[in-house]
Amino acid sequence: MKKFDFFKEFGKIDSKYIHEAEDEWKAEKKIWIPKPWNKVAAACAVLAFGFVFLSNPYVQAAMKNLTLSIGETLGFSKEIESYTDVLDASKTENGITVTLKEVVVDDGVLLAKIHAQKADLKTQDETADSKEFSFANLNFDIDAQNSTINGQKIEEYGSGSYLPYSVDELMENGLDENVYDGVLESRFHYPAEIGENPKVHLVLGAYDGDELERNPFAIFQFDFSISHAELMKQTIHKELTDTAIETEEGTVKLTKISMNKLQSSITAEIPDELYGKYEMELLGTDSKGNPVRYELSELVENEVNQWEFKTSFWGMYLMTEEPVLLIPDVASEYMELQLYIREPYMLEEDIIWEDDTYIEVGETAAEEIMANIQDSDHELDTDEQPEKQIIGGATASTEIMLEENEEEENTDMGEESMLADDSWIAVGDKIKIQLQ
Amino acid sequence: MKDDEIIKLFLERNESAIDELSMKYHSYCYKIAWNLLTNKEDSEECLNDTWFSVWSKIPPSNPPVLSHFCGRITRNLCIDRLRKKFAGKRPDVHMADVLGEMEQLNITYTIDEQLAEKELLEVINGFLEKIKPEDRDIFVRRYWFMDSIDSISKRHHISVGSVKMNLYRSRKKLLKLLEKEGGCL
Repeated sequence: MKKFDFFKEFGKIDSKYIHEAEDEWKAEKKIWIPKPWNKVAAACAVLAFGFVFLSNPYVQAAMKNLTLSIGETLGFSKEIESYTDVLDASKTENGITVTLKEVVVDDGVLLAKIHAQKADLKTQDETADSKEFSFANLNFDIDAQNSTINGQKIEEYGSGSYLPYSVDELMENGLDENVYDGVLESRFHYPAEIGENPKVHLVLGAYDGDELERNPFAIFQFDFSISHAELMKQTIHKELTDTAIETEEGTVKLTKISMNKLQSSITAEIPDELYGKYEMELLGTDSKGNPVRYELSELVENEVNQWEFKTSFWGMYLMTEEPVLLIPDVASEYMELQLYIREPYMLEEDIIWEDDTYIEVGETAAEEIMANIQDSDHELDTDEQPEKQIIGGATASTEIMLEENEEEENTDMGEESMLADDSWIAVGDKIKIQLQ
Repeated sequence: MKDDEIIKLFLERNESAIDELSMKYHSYCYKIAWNLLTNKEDSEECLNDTWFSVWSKIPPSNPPVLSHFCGRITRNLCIDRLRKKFAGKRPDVHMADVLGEMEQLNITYTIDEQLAEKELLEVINGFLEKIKPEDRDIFVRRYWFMDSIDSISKRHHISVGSVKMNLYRSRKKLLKLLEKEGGCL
């Protein structure tokens, strides 16, 4: 057995990638870039199982029958089917038929499950590009530049794409290159409420994986209304009173919370002295034992000192083999949160020098705090009393008393495995937010 | 002086090759060394070692891209120096992070060693080919050039948190690929 030394081996990557990264980054490259994950996964599947499966029609049939829903794909343990609009609308362009299967839209997030296959030759547009293509080399992406909600452009700040197959399914059957199935995700800023029935103009691009910089191979435009009323109805909005955290820099006052099965946000008044100096997160568990993480996100529009802590989609899928959502269960009675702060990364010009000796630059990934929750390397000593663990930072450790909780369901992900890294400091008292 | 002229000097065993190389690629390699070692003396020493390492490798090597050839050598020398420096000790916080990030991608494999390394490198190249250009740029800037998160954040005009999250996602994707290719944690 030999260890693969990534640190060194990464030095041997193809020169073209080094050359590419040497140039000044051109922001416009962000536009019209396809999501590649299907290809990567396809490559894995091909490597692992060979081509025999890919040409097997029975496998194709099985694959089509076994795609997961949006919620299942993203790892929501909580049902989100009631928020999902099943559209099954199809468009054919350039020899490809794309079917928009399901869509979920909420404030700041759009999820679309699509299925693509080669168009039926009988109905294929005669002017279609006759170029041969394979879905193993074709990627799909939400074109955020041209997609709108209620006629207003969305300002995308993050995107993702996911294969709607279980790992077992992929391992067993491989990936069929004659079809494409994917869940596309766009996270965006939107300056207004999207309303009960937002009108969505969704533009999807299909891109040739070998010609990423070129125009899309085909563009698909869908216009539809989404029933957002159910999600709005099931979204809990609660004004918070007497929910404050005292810090040396002033009082952080939590004023509102909203939560549904997709996401949650907490509005807080934060003194200038605090948000100007620190990164902040709220970490804890709900009354069912689910780990919860809110990141300080953005200033609330038109409000002074009102900031939003938001749950993150990103972190949820990257900490363990199986995705874990760090959002509170809407049915939980309460949530207990601890405020953590850390100094932001020091700018290069802020590096402290003393006789040419570098002193300190802090650069610990914030999300690793929560990664540690799931990380078996950080499992707590089982000899410790289960009701008492230390979760604070090195400079200001904080003891948390864990109460016996009969309601607790998710013991594997509970607070007992929580450890913060050294750079984050727990400040103030733990707060309890009553949700029901 | 052009790269091919510098390489010609090396091939002719002309010692002025080192001066020319140093003159042309000092700042390029120094940035890499600095990002890893964050120490002036260590970085300069690594650069000197780099020039002499190039001298010992050309010939027989005839690198197609001289800057990358030098950069790779600098990077490797700096990694060795870094590991030696912090052997058994806790590294600076600055390096602890990037070392920790890359440690997550170290896997143990059991198949033929040379073949495995070649294949795993192909997986990495394949991964870089497939991911979005922005993700690739962030990944390469972080793990090849060893840029700080803050510097990448400025380069891409995105938040520090977004950079961290982007790297986190990319690492996980790559790790899965590496594991599937023959490794185990």
